[in-house]
Amino acid sequence: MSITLESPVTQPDPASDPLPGERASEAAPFAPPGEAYSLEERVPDWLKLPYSALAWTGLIGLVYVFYSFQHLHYTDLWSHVSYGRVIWMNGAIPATEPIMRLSAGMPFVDTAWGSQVIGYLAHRLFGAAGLQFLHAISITLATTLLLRTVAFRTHRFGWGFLACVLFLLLNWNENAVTRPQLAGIACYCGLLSILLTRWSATNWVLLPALFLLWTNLHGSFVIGLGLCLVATLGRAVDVALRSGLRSVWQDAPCRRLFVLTQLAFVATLLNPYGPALYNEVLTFGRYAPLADLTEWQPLTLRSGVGQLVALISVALLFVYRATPRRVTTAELVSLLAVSGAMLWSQRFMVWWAPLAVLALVSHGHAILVARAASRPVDPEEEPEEPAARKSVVTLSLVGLCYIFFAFTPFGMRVIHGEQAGVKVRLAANTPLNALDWYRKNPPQGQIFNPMEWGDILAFSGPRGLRIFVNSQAHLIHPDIWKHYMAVMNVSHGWDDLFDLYGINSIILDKAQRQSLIGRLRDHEKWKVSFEDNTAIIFSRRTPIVAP
Amino acid sequence: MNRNLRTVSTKAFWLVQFVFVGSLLVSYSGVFASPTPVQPLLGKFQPPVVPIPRTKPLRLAPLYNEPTLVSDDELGKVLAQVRPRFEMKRLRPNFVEHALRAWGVDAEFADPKVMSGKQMKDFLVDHGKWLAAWGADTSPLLNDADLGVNIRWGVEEGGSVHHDHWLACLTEAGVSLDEPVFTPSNKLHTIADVVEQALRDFRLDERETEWSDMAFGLWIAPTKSWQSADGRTLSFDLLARRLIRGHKRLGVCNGTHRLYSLMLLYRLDDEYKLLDPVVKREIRDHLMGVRDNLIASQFEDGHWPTNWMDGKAAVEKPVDDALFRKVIATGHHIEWMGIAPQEFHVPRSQLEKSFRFIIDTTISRPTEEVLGHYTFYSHVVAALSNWRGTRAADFWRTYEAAHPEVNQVDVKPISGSERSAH
Repeated sequence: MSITLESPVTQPDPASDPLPGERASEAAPFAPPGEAYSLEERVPDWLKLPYSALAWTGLIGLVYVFYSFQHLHYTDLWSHVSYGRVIWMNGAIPATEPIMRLSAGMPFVDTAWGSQVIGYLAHRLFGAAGLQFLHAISITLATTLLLRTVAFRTHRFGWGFLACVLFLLLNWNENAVTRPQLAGIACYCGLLSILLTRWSATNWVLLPALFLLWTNLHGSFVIGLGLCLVATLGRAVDVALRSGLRSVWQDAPCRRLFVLTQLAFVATLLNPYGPALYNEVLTFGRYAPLADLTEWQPLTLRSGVGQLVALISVALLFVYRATPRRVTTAELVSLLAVSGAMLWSQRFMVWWAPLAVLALVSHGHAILVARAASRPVDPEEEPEEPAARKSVVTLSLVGLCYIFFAFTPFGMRVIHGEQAGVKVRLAANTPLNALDWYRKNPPQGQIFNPMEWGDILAFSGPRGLRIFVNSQAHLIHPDIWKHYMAVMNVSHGWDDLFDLYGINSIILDKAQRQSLIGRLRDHEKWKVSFEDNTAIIFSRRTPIVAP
Repeated sequence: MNRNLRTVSTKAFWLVQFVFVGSLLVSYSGVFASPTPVQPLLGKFQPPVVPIPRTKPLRLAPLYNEPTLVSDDELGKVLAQVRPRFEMKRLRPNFVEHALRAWGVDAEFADPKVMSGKQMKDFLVDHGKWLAAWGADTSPLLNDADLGVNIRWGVEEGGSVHHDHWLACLTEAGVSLDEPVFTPSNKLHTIADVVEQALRDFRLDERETEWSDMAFGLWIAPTKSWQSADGRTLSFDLLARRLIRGHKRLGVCNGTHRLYSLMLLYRLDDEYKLLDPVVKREIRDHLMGVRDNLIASQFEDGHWPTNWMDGKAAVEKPVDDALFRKVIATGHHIEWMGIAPQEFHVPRSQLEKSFRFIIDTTISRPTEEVLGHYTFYSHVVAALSNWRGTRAADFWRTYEAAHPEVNQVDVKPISGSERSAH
């Protein structure tokens, strides 16, 4: 904000009502007699913000701070950073699986190469704080873009707050793990924001650019493209039903959506695999190991998230029944399509959540507005004035943003550098001591490990550690996965498999694998080499010689 | 807002259509081909066909001719004992595969009760011949696959016991690539179809890979890598590491076939450079370790026990091996050392003792007993012939002519349906 002192144009008249300019002169006690100075605000109007902006910023800032302090999870994240490291070091995406020696040769179609490289660079430049930043900024961006859409539709902070809470609750589990999917969700919310708010000419560039980015960050871009397609067809259906089929071609939004969808598709072709990326993404469910993973199974009412989804779904039924707002075909079809997909695999819930939340708050708001409009008008009631815009709000907002930024581990790392000694906390059940033990006692040959720990073991373990599996289950050959599950379930012949793979060291999580741990404690071939509250490491009494 | 930017003019619309179609054409023309094989949207992934650059499989040139280890007379007597005298009824393909591998497709015998190389080969490649032995109630040995031929394998009757053993034995026996293979549908295939199907079907982490490795090496070298039906890129490096991996006792015949296959790849690499130097060094280190185990685990009578990998402990705490099990271990070790450079051998004195054990045992046992354990003794035939720098069929041709009395002994053919551990 700039404040300048200028000579007054007119002399004050004490008899008349004070004018705004005169207040400024009163505030200049040291003005020479006969002269008055006024403080005139030169901040352009577009930089001034209403007080509600502080509330929105506070909400978004809290989301950012919360996720900036979330512990880094041991699974998923570290394998992505490892793949990013391989890509960065080689200057190319490997054609076959590069980390798990047992899965060597497995086709490696990297649908998240961009996120992985960014993740690796963030870690290289800022350590784990960089990863926390990426985690927090992705969720914050997604939330902000969702709130933008909510704000456009409702103009009320309360609805935004509700949307934010529901969105974060529905994605609670998914948001716990730092992975490229978070970037995909941010892009998805960005797409919704473009499609559901006021049209802007910049969208001609913004939307293809969004898809270009999305395609190279995460394979979920096909969901966005599907949404564009549904929006286009839905609009066409609505126009055709309202004004006849011939009107569709003349409908400007319809033509616009059609062309935008085409441009988005063209943008998705710009990736290292070209159109073949579609094959990988659309047939991703073929990988046999995914069937054994909980997050790929259908959503059920047994889980807390499932119950929340059911609750919101029931609420949506009531809201759709009562809403005065027009329900578009695109809205209905997209919601039903993602709901169906979610019942197939709960991984789709993250794509359902923004749609459901937007539908709930948009129509919920419309119902309340309609009810308010139907009430008799009180002549005494003054019409609501437009919110005042102040430059001080803008200034406060900048300060608030700085505080939110500087308060986080990443902010401290950026501002103070490495000497800040920022310690990023890792999620509970991360085998830190076991990792340390492995670094001091590198195992010879193959190890056996839980899938969830394979990522961090490969990234932070001793150089060349031969993990059995990691959380990238689709890159594991079905035969190896079958053997992995046989061991974990202590199925018939489980201990022979250690001989088959030449395993000399077994690391297990004590919270999950007590049955297997009990069997190994009593096994003549194995002895405990390390144990703490989190992990236990067994070593073969007579190691199998390995190259 | 500028109204022009809210709507799409006809010119802009057609321009976008041009860009859209153009980008589709460019993308799908293969200009930006994916570096990784991808799953088709519909149907199964079909890996590219691997070129097979020869009509006859490779054969490792013999490295030795050691009459001091096995004399002509001893070799002749051993071969006479292990002639494939099989009864056709319910004749197990596994027996025929072993016999064919040991004797070769051109083996001929004056004794009509002994199957010739051609008869053995026909039994394996012609469903009609197999049908005559097993009847229609048993699942066929040969089956049509989408693009090639599948060989039924496993413990069920009438099948080949080990995956790709059928192919590996015919390959080592010297069958031609264009040899016809008749399936129940009377569809004409060739050995090339079986090789291609085996390359597609191969799974690195299945329990036994020894036979596939041999067949692939002898047919497709110098090709180093290929893709299987599940999209995995396979290479001889991966195959070799798979053979090295795990406890030495694992694998067919107490882990000895792994050693043979490893040495075969090692030898092929000398000429065709199939392996990464690092992997080749790993093979060498592994086999040197095996040699050390063998030096320490040999018994006084020259045999190696089934737990040879235990080294000195195997002698100190001996296991109670049946004689045929001693033959399995000893015969197979002599066999892989027969194709190995000298540095991989146990000391000469130990080698001589092992030869003495295997020759004396084979010659001294009743022929019926030898035939009952045919699969094990067949390796003795292959091993001793190779150590003499010859092939069993070639040597037998001369030996039989010079010793017609070998056909005067009447031995009851075995059905080949006795179950053996091999």
